[in-house]
Amino acid sequence: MKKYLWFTPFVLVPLPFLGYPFLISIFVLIGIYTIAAIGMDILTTWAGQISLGNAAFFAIGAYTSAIMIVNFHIPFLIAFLVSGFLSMLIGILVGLPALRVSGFYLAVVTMAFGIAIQQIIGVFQITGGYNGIRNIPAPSFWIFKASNPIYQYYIVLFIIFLAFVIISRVSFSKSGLALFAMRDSEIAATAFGVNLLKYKLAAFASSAALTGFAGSLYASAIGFISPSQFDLTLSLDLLAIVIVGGAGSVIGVMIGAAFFVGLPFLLSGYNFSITIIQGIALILILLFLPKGLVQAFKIGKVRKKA
Amino acid sequence: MIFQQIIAGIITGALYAIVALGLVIAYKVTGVMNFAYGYMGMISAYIFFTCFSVIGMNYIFAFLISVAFGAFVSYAVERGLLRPVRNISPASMVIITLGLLLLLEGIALQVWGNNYQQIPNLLNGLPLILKFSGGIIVIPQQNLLILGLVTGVIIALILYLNLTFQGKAMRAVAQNEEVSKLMGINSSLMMSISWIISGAIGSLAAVLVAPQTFVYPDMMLSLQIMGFTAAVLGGFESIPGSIIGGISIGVIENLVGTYISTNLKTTFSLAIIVAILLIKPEGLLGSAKARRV
Amino acid sequence: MKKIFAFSVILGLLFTFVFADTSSFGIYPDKVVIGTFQALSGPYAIIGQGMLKGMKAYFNWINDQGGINGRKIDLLVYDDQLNPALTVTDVKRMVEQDHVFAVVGGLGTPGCLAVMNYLNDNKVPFVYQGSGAPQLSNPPKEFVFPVQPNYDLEGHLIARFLVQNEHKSKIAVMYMNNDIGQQELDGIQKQLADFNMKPYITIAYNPSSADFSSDIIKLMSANPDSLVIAGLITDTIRIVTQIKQYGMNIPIVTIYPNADPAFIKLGGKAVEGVILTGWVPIPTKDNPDFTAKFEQYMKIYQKSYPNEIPSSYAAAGFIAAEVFCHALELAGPDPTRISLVNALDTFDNWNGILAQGITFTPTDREGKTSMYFMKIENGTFVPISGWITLK
Repeated sequence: MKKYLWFTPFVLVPLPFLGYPFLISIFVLIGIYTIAAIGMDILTTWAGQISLGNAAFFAIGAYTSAIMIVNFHIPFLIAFLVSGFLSMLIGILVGLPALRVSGFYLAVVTMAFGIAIQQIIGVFQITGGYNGIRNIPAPSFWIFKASNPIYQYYIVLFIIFLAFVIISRVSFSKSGLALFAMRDSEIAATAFGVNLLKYKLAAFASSAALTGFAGSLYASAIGFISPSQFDLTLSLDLLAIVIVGGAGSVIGVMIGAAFFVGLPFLLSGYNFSITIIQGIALILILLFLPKGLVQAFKIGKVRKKA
Repeated sequence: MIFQQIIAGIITGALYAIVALGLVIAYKVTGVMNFAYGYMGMISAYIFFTCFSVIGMNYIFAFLISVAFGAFVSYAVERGLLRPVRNISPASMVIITLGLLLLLEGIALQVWGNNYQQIPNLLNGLPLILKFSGGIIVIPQQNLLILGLVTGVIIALILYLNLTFQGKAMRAVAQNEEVSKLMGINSSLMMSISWIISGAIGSLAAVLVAPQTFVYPDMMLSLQIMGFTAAVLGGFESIPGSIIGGISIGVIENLVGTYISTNLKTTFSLAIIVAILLIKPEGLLGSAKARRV
Repeated sequence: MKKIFAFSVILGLLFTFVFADTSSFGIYPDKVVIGTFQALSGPYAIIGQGMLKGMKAYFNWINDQGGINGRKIDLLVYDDQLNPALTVTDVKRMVEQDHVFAVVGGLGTPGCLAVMNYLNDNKVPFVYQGSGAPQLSNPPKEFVFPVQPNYDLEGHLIARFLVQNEHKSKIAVMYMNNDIGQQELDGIQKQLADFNMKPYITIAYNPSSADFSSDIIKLMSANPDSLVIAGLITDTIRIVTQIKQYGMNIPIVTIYPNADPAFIKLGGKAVEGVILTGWVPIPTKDNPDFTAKFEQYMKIYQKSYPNEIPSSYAAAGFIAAEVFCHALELAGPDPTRISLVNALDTFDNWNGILAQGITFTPTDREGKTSMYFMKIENGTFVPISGWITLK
């Protein structure tokens, strides 16, 4: 139980800010990016695969859920589950090529997938074309409507917690060891009888599912989605969150997301290009904290044994 | 129309090819994939603009200064920034060069402001007009120049790498850094040279396409993505591969846009490229054993 | 210990944004606080920075004269990089923490559409959107005041112009693969359908492409008698230039975001003869009244930004500021959000400096529904029609 204790402060964090819903909204956004970035982390750190197309899973989750809720009036919870599931199925399809290519070759394959999904969404009617889908209601459960950001915060936090529990269980199990073995050396892993096909696909599937869930939450929290939101920049941001925050640790990913989402809000309002500061920060962190910001906080002991 | 589209595709593809070429040279020797490559070129295009249009220098002089500047920036970036971290994972490499990209984009905006700028063509004569039975194709002199330069750069590079001692040394470093060090090759110098060449090519490309795209912080965005794709398609380690990769993409795009769909042009083109990569996972001219990643 | 330290650092950081002034509605004895969101960094910064300059130039000028009814305009700017996820939180911050009186001149269709209902529900006036999305004005919303003509309307006007005035029947459309391109195409298709016609050929393109020869070869082999380009400045110029190189000589019409001095400066000889729509008048000899106003605009702009030629995006920002300031003045010495809305609804063909012919009523919130056509001749824009509306 002890390893879950670090989660308790996050339950209390929003309480002093109840009078400032916009701050809670920022926390919600950070949480949603965290979920998607954990998905990226599974792929990058755990399975050693690089993806520049995870924005596509985010989009698939967001659109599936939005279309189900807005067009077909399906309850949020079902839409949410379906969007993760559909995203997972597509993740497996994308994972198949990953069995044949790796490194920058895989980066191009996934980037192509991301760009293609964005364009396909823009062309079809059901997705609202380039105009997108508006007025997506906040998540609701039967009669309870989570329109106040504080409820969304706890929903998002709960999902991060679930993801953390599952990941920390898996990482100490046989499957987790197989994943690490595969990342470190595919040939050696095969020699020890690890079924590469199974684990690579599992990594893609869980990555896509988590990103899809994040997309579904995003659609309901922001209320408006359009293809331009799911571009290459989003895929790169998700990757950057993982690398900057600290690959392989949930708290690291949370720090990365807070840094990436929070920074623009802290710096906004000065007539100065934020990208300069973002760029310098990325470079400095990679040069001096190659394990990510979590290294500076020294609280990333989640996976010390692995 | 098919011949026209293929020729137009080769012209566009030459632009992708030159970007791919620069990426590959740097990658081959140092193992660093530079995601900010196009944006480094963009800075050179702004330097050209400043020298030529603001200060009023002679075209050739401004051209040389901007290419030399690009080569120097490239040298400095590799030596000062990327050398210490060149063995990090591909994902981290994408992110550190992404940081560089954001920095350059911000600097350009802060320094040169929010107007699209223009620089003139080097060659402004009448375009080359080829007539077919089904139609015509028009190739502006600037594009012929780019095509010629791509060819020239490739020939020069191949001669350099195969005939000079330094070139051979560079290939040795690319193949096996440790062994080449033992043989007394100054691998550090070779790495710097590869980035200087790469930076010069990037600046050249940016200054030559700038009359077409105009000069603004994101002018190289599309070329950079397509150049990266072309490099991978070609095999990422192979100089002829990057050229073939670039030109193939140019031609594929045009044929898809003509015969399949315009609004899903990129989607179908990328699908074809992915299909090629699945059949040949090391790219068109890559070899499985030389793969670094 | 370290954990506690880390958390207190994070909490401390957060508190810095929390304890701000909470007096409501943004009206203070000496100032009015308003907010805007603009893309000041990232790929669209070139547009956002231009628009912000236009707004600032006008507000600086107003403030130098002592403000409106003794209150200076205090503009808060948030950089959302044209990412609606950031826009939503930025706007919440403006409303819930900064307590802005109104949001003026937000840039970008995705961001504007993402926040319009929120602002309307919270009864915060949202004056001028840097977007031509038809959804902003249709249906009308109590607190939302779009000024720019929408792209759907523009598509209708262009199609009607080509069919009725120019008697064209084979109209080709090249449009950007994005929301603007799609909305223009929709408008053109709907209007042509009223004439029992449809576009002769439609070609979607990626605006960041370096080369359009493939599209142009396709266009040539279809052999249309006129072409509409729904693109922005750099891609439109590249297409026009290549079309001229191919020796094609058909009337080309493009959309109002291109009616910018930079279009002529960058396009040079190639853009001669191109027809554009406009909703901001241009100073010409036969229009001395407006010429004087335009000179005033240049003076005001260059007071803040010496020697700079304002872009069309700066003009848009300028108009946003003008419309807001005039409404604020009409709203009386003690303005409220409701009195601002009521003041805006009295706009009846109102003319400011650059803003011309702006009308709002509670049931019709398309601020500007009239446009005119102009042609580039000898390096200047020459009007070739009067104001045209659909109604």
